[in-house]
Formats: sequence, C-alpha cells, structure tokens
Amino acid sequence: MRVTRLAVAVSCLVMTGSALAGCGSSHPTGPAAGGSGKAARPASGGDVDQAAAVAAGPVGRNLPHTPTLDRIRGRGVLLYAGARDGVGFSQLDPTTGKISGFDAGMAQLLAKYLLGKPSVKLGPGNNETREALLNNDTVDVAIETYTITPERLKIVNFAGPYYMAAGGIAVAESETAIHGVGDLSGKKVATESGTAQQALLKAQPKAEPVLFDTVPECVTALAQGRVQAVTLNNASLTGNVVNHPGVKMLDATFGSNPFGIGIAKKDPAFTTVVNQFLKAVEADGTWKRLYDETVGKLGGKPAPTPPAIGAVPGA
Amino acid sequence: MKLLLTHLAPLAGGLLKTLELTALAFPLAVVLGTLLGVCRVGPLPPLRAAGALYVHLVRNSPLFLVLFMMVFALPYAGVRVPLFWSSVIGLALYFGSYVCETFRSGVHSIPVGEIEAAQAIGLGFRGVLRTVVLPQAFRAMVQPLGNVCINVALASALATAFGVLDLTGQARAFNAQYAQPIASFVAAGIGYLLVTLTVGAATGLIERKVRILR
Repeated sequence: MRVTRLAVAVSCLVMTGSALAGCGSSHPTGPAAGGSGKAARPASGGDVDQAAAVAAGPVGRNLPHTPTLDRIRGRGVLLYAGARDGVGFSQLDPTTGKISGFDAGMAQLLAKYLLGKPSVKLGPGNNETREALLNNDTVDVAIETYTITPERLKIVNFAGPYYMAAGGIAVAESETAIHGVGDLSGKKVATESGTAQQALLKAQPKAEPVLFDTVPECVTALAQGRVQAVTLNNASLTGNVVNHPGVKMLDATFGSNPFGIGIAKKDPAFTTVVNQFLKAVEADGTWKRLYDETVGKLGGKPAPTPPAIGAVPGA
Repeated sequence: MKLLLTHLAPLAGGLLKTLELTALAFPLAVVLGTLLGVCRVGPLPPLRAAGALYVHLVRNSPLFLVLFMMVFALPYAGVRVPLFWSSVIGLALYFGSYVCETFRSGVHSIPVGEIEAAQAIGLGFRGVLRTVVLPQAFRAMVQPLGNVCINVALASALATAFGVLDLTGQARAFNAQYAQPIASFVAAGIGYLLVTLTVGAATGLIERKVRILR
C-alpha cells in the first residue's frame, strides 16, 4: 500500500513537471517568452492591445431589422466564433480573459457599430464547426481569419473581405536554399488542413504537406527539423515566428487569402449591414489604426490599403 | 452527400491508415503489457515497483500528452522518431499500461490452488508462468483485450493532430475544403464503427473458441 501511494505521488510530480515542459515548448510565443532579451525583434503577442482603435470606432445609424440583428439587440451582446490562439488576430489571455488582436478588435468594432457599445462574447466554433454553428443560429457571426472560398460561399454568406492575407513561408534560420514557394518542390512542409494546405498545393503541387493542429506545433516541427518549411497565411504565421528562436520568415509570399466575416446564409440583409460597417471603418481610418495596433505591431510594417469590400466574387 | 461519394478514395485511405495504426500499436501494447504484467505479479520487489510506477504514470496521464511528448519532447533529448511511428509507439506505450492491468486480473482469475499445485510438483516461476498461468490468463483476457483493441482504434484519431492522415484527418481535410461538418464526421463515424464492430465480433468468436468452462 505504501509503495502504491508513493508511486502515485511520484508519478503526479513527474507528470506535472513534464506537462509544464510541454506547455513551455508548445506555446513559444506566450507572454512569458516576450521579454526575454530580444530587443531586435518586434513586439510579442502579449503587447497587442486594440482598445484605442475600438474606442475610436463608429456607431451605426438607422440600422434595419433583420433576424440576426434583432437577436443581437435582444441579447445586448454580439456572440461570435473566433480563435483563442491566433497571435496578433485573436489571442485569449486565460488569466485576464482579455482577447487581443485584429479579429478581436473587428468583432468589438462590429458590436459597437450595431449596439453602440463594444460588447462581445467569444462563442464556440472552430474551423470545423463554424458553418454549422452559423446556420443554426448558435453564433451571430464568425470572425476568425476565415478565408472566403467558393465552396464555403455555397453554405454561408461573407461580408468583406476585410483583410488580405497571402501564403507566407517560414524556414530554419540556417536555411539558404529556399527563397520562395518554387523551392518547396519535394520538401516536407508543415501546414494546417484546409485553405492553407490547398493554397500550398495550388502554388507548389510537388510539396509534401505534413499537417498539424496548431500554428505553434507547425513552427516547433520546423525548429526540430521534422520539416523543411512551414506555410500558412502570413497573418497567422508572422505572429508565431516573431518570438521563436531558430526560424525566420521569408519575404516571398504566394497566392492570396481574403478574410471575410461569416454570416448565416438565410440572412442576406445582415450581410449588407456588416458590409456597410466594414466600409465605414475603412473610410474613417479605424481600420488602419486597428491594423497598426495589432498585426502591424508584430510584423513591424505600416498598414496597407484595406481591401475593397465586395472584391471577392459572390461575397 | 453526392460530394462525399466522389471523395470516398481519400476517406478509404484514411481508414486504411487508422487500421495500420491499430494493427501495429495493439500487438506492441499486448507484448509490453504482458511483460509489465509479469513484472507486477512476479516475485521480485524492484520489478513489481517498476511495473506499478509505469502503470500509474502512464495510465493516469492523457494520451494527448504521451503523443505530444513522443513528437515534440523527444527531439529535445536527441531522438527524432518519424511522425507515423511516434503515434504507433505512443499508442503502444499508453495502452500497454491497460493491457498490464488486464493481465493482472487475468492472472487473478486462476485459482491459487493450481499455482500451488504447480509449485508443489517442482515447477519454478517460469514453469508455472508458461504452463499454468499464461495459457489460462490469456483466455480470461480475450474480452478485456478486445476492449483495449477497440480503444486503440478510436484513440488513434489523436494521431491526426501530429501529421498522420488517418480517418479523422481525412474527414477533417474534406470538411475544411467543402465545409460539410456533419457529412464528413458521420462518414468518419461509420468508418470507426466498421472497425470496432469487426473487432467486437472477432473477440466474441475467439472467446467462444477458447473459453474455459468452470
């Protein structure tokens, strides 16, 4: 009996230790890793705060009645599907419950436009379930680096595009032979299933995709030499590479990922309202301000011209 | 639905990958679990303690953590196993602990008198194990081992998070492209049912063949 109890105690200790070690290596871009003497690198995910841009956002006037909008008004809160680990876009700090990033700011701005106050709630919904959750009214909108594709347009509506991402490539710092997507032929390339994998195979059919669940896992696999490169949309990738030693982003990009706001198919009038909102924040400079405070801070580059609303056919 | 039928080939490929994972990991788990089980019922205290420590350590941690360690922590120790084999070994290491406990209960199903009788006619630990304990223990273990096998097949879905395109992985890839969560995951569910019902039926068949009537 004593031996058993001792064994349990020891195993608990060992597992706790290894769990901590695991966390440390799986989230190399967490706030803790931010200030570790990397003065030359841009800000870490923990320093992103979109509050000022949201405070300056517009409030919509004379908005119509649509089923989704009435539901949001009745609840007083915008319930949206979003990511929890998207550095620079939508990162949840579990200790404070604060969500920071471009997509998080866009959701708060939309809530402010619709309700007069930036009152949002992050609901369920990852890239596997968001279409179903939109169409059965579980969430009001999906704002999560959601690429507009012809297949998805058959099932949900998109407002936007509100952000133009492109395929980005990260390689080991010692890598000298890979300069662009053309050099990935026959190489093992870590990526995520879905649009990222499709974009890679479209640009380089001879690449060998290796699929992981999260962006930090892709980057860790690269750092450990399991793969020769990582490709994802440059928006998600930049934030994760910034604080990871031993890997670098290439300047080259490929293809394009237009991000849209997903809306239930049955409420086209609400899509029109959200498109009006996007035009408003682009016109009054809020979009650029939000970019500078989030993605721009990580990438260290000035805000581009926001994409024209309706630039993607069908959206 | 029509879309799904035209994409049966990748889904079938995923099903094959799931079968490969199960067919490789389960026998490894049985071998490892039996060795651990022999340690745990054997006469040597250090081996008994080591076996117990292993079972408590591995059985009480999430499988995801074990696979994560295989894939992302081992390279820091200088060992880099290919992704598919990382998943196979991770599953075998994890379910070995379950097989070990199954083995122990199988051994306990043997009347103590038989073991004492075997010792009385001069058989050593090895002799008792080989001629009396193992043949009977394995027969008592058929059903529980079938359960472990079913669990290995279902749990292998976690490998999809670590670069193995199994049934779940293919269903997710299909869903990511065509945004059909319900169709793709129902299809995957049917695939898993095919595997697990087959294992269940085989278990029943073997059980009827080798059962000891007491």
